[in-house]
Amino acid sequence: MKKLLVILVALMLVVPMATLFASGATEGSGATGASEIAVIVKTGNSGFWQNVQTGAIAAQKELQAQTPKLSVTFLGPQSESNVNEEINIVQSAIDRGVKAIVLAPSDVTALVPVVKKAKEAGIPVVIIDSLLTGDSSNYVSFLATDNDAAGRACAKTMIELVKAKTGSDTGKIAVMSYVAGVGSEIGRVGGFKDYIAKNSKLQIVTTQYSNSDQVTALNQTTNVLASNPDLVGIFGANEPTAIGMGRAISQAGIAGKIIAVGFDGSSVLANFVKDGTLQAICVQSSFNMGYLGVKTAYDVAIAKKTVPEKVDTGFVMATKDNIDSQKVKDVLY
Amino acid sequence: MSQITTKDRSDSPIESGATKSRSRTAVDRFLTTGALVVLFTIFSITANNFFTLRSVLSLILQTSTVTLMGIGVTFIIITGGIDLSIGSVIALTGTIAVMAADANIPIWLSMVLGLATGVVCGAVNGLLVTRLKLPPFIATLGMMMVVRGLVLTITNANSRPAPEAFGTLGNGSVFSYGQKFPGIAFPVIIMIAAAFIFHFILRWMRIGRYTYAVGSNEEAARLSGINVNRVKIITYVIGGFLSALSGIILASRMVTSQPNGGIGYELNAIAAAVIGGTSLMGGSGTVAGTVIGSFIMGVLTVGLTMQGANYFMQQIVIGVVVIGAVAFDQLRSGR
Amino acid sequence: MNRGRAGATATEIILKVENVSKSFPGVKALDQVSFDLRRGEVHALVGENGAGKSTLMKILSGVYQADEGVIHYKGSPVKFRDATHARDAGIGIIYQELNLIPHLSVAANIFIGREPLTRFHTLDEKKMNADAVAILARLNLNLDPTVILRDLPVSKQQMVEIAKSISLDSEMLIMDEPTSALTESEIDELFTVIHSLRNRGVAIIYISHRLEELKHIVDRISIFRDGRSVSTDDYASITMDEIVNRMVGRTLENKFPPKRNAPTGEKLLEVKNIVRAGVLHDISFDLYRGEVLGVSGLMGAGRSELARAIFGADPIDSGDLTIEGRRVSVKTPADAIGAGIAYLSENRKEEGLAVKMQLSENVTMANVPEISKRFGILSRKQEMDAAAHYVHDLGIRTPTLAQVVNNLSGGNQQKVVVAKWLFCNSKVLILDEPTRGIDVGAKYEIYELINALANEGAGIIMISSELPEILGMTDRVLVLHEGRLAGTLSTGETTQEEILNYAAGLMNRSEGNPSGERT
Repeated sequence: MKKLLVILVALMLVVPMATLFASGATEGSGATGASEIAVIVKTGNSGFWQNVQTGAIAAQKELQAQTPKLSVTFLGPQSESNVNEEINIVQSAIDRGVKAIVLAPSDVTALVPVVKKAKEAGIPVVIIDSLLTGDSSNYVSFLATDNDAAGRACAKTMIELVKAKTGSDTGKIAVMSYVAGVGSEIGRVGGFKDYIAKNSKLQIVTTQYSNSDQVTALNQTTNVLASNPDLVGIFGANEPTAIGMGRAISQAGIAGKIIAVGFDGSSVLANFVKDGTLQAICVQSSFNMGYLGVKTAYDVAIAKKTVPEKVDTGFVMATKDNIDSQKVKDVLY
Repeated sequence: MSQITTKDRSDSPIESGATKSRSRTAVDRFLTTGALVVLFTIFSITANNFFTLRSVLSLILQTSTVTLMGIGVTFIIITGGIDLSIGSVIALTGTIAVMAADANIPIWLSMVLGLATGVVCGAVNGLLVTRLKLPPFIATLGMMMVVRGLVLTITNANSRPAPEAFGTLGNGSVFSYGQKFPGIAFPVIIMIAAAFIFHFILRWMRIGRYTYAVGSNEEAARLSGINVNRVKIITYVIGGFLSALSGIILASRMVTSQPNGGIGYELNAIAAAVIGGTSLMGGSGTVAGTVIGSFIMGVLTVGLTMQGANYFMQQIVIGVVVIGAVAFDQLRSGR
Repeated sequence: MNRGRAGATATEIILKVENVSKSFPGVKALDQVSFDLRRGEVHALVGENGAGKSTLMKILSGVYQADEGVIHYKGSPVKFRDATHARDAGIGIIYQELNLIPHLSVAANIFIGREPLTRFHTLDEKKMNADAVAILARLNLNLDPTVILRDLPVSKQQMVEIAKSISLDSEMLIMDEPTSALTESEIDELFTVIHSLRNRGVAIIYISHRLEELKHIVDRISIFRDGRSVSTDDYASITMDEIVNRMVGRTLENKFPPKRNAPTGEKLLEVKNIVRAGVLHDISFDLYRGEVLGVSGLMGAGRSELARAIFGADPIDSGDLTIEGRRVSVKTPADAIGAGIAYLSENRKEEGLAVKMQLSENVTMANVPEISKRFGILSRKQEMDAAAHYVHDLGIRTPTLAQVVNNLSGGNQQKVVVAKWLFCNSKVLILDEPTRGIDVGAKYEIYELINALANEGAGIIMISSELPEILGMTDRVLVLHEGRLAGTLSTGETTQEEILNYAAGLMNRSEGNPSGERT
């Protein structure tokens, strides 16, 4: 019995290490170092980031016409919160002498030192998706969705759809947000609220925070709908929140009777748009982050061109009308 | 060194003690139930549309899963343990069931697979606590991370839609008459059934008695021939099973797998148990108390949302209630 | 070891206790006790459990206050309000259980509560460590003051406790069973320190059950019995026999119920060659139907350990049990209960009862299957019937069967534990200190109960520290010494003195004669 336990405990310690090693090996395969651009994201385990990879691969194929030896590697820690692992991945990319790094930093400050090291080693870094603090000369370019603009676009869509349905821009709407006070939320929900206030007579009756939990969003939306039967519109500000919101709308049997705008482009949300539960979803172009990220890195490191300091990777407003178009298909995941 | 001075002083007042202990549990129950009724009344008056049949049924539906988790963790806490892996187990079991259903395995069998996964998670918790003698806090904290990592790995952190029929369990109901009466939702029926079954197990079955005995005095239980380890493992398995049941109901309500879902749910379940009179020191707690505790939490959350209270204020109010409920209990039993 | 010393001429009396009495409800713990202590002497205080030694020590250290009598300390009468008061007056006490914090360093333990500070009000570790070294040096100890206490052996920890007392400038030191947790060589070290303290003029009260070790250090000896001080003598002028005689004295009459029927001679339990490394060494004995077999021995002799080994509560390395002629394998308490063995632990509340649960639930705790025969569902009726039966049979005084056990008196709690084991149909009952913490009246009832059980054919193993109880209740006595069976005595033919001699290791089965000298 005791022996068995010891073996078991030993296995418990060894197996995770082996997995780490294995995953590192597969994801890093094909890394020659000679003309490698390393794309390092917050985590390899999510549809959003896999779209980034799709974009990166598209860019790689395009660029191989000029530089056949170009390789693009795609790496990321097991989970988004694992900042140390991401730092190690960046460090090892520096160590093997990649040409350039495309990085989605999972922490605004923690990755500053390692990015600085890359700069000192002569490796240009392109930041995508999330801001990095510190000296902006540490990296060559910052590519991300302009959340403020995206939030305003959602508000604009909301106003237009309400007008189209009721003939006026008055009535109550609710905002289903996710985590109070994180960077993207301040931009996105802040932009939405500001645009609504300045461009319509719509009244925001409540703001709820789901903590990015679908079930919480479902319950909150159910309760908001129950206590405000006269609601004309509702905005779900990120993927899990929009999913919960869509589910609540469909369970309350009021799909189509209320203008619902979601955010992000998972297949579940795309289906909600197709069946009319949500009228629109604002999809960040994660594809563009990968695509433009690699291209920018290539321009700096290999083509030796100058690049803009800031690039808006943009977003796509998907509705029932355009959901099957190639432009939208490229950004859905 | 024993000595003649250690005179037992509890000698004289035994006769007057009467049925103090039993009447006190009755008083406890009365007080928490009273608190629930008061809260319910307040929100019925102040919150728009709160006191309608539809809202009340929706409230019960929303509270049913916390109640299930709470019942499971009540068993565990009575033995002196804790389970922090509930939220992760919810995500994993729901996801497994959805993935199985997606792979054209019959819906019922997919759900059974999900439940089996929960039982395995519970058994692992139990083995870590009993065989490796890890403190329950650490064992289940580790499992919380391991299970979360597992579900993120097998799904790549993607939510996946389930076949439409998978949603029946979470969204179907009986006695439904269109718009007039939305019916009693299946999860509510499951919750009520589970409450009765596990109340019976805890109160009237051998294993229930052992659960209290282990939590009351582990060494005395061991020296009374009770297999303490087995009892603990069984309580963790019950906890895992009820977490899985919640996970499957939630996945079914969403008709989606949620690998990132359920974060922090264990704390709601523990709070429900504690408000309902379960002592974190072990040895006391009841299923009925936990049901009332989770409904106090549910009424507060739903009521405050419907009242249009500021979200940040809601957090403060719920926190104050949790602290207040336990402080009140402490003050009263500390006399 | 050498008894000669420099300060032997010191005869100034530092402490004089005159006619001190102290009562607790129902018990007179100290009755007109007188006693004096000189500077630079080691004064042994001996007596059986309950003789009043500990009560007197607690009065001297301010834990209790005397009801009557006077204590003169350094020439003037004192009344210590609390432990701090006594400590500030220069009286140090070293309990069996050390009062130290295992996670702190040696120096931090010595100076706890009065740490030297720098002028910035931070801890002055430097000064603390230097002072600690100086104090340890006074005890001829070469200890690193920065070592974490729990990394030291118990003996060294005890030295730290002593150093703490010295650092408080104690002029008088009380040591309560200081050697109970030490090995032979550690004891030698302790004695060296005691010698040097004595030479420095510190007065030491030395309490010990280990009579054989007194000869190494003691100058005078006072003997207590039943709350009275019997005598004070120069150690050199008294023999071991006299000490034991005076400790035991005359037993009180009518403390025990009349003897029951003689054992039947039918072998109930056979224990063969029980070994638990370092704890129990090859112990074998038999128990007969209807017999009460006493187990005696000093603290740490392995009495409870033997009981726990037979009951399967602690793992054993080897040994066999036979009950009614059948070999039984006992690896867990459940096995033992199945074989008909019951164990009433000495720590009733810690190991015997679930005090927050009801009386009826405690009665059935070790045999729940008996009241849940159908599908594991409890029968409230069967449970109540069982509880009612034993409440009546054993005369448990309780308002209801649902009473929470914590609210019962000690004697009634003990009866609940007995009921629990009777409900398992136990044939062999091991009672570990069954009357501990129970008042005199309730004790008598427990004795009657034991006799009744034996009359009904049970075999009883009764572990007790109280020799009168052993003599009053048992048929035979096993005497343990350091994990070995030192002797098996027939109660009718033995005396307290003989038992004590065996228990102290002065005699054993093989030698059969007192051997005052040990090498």
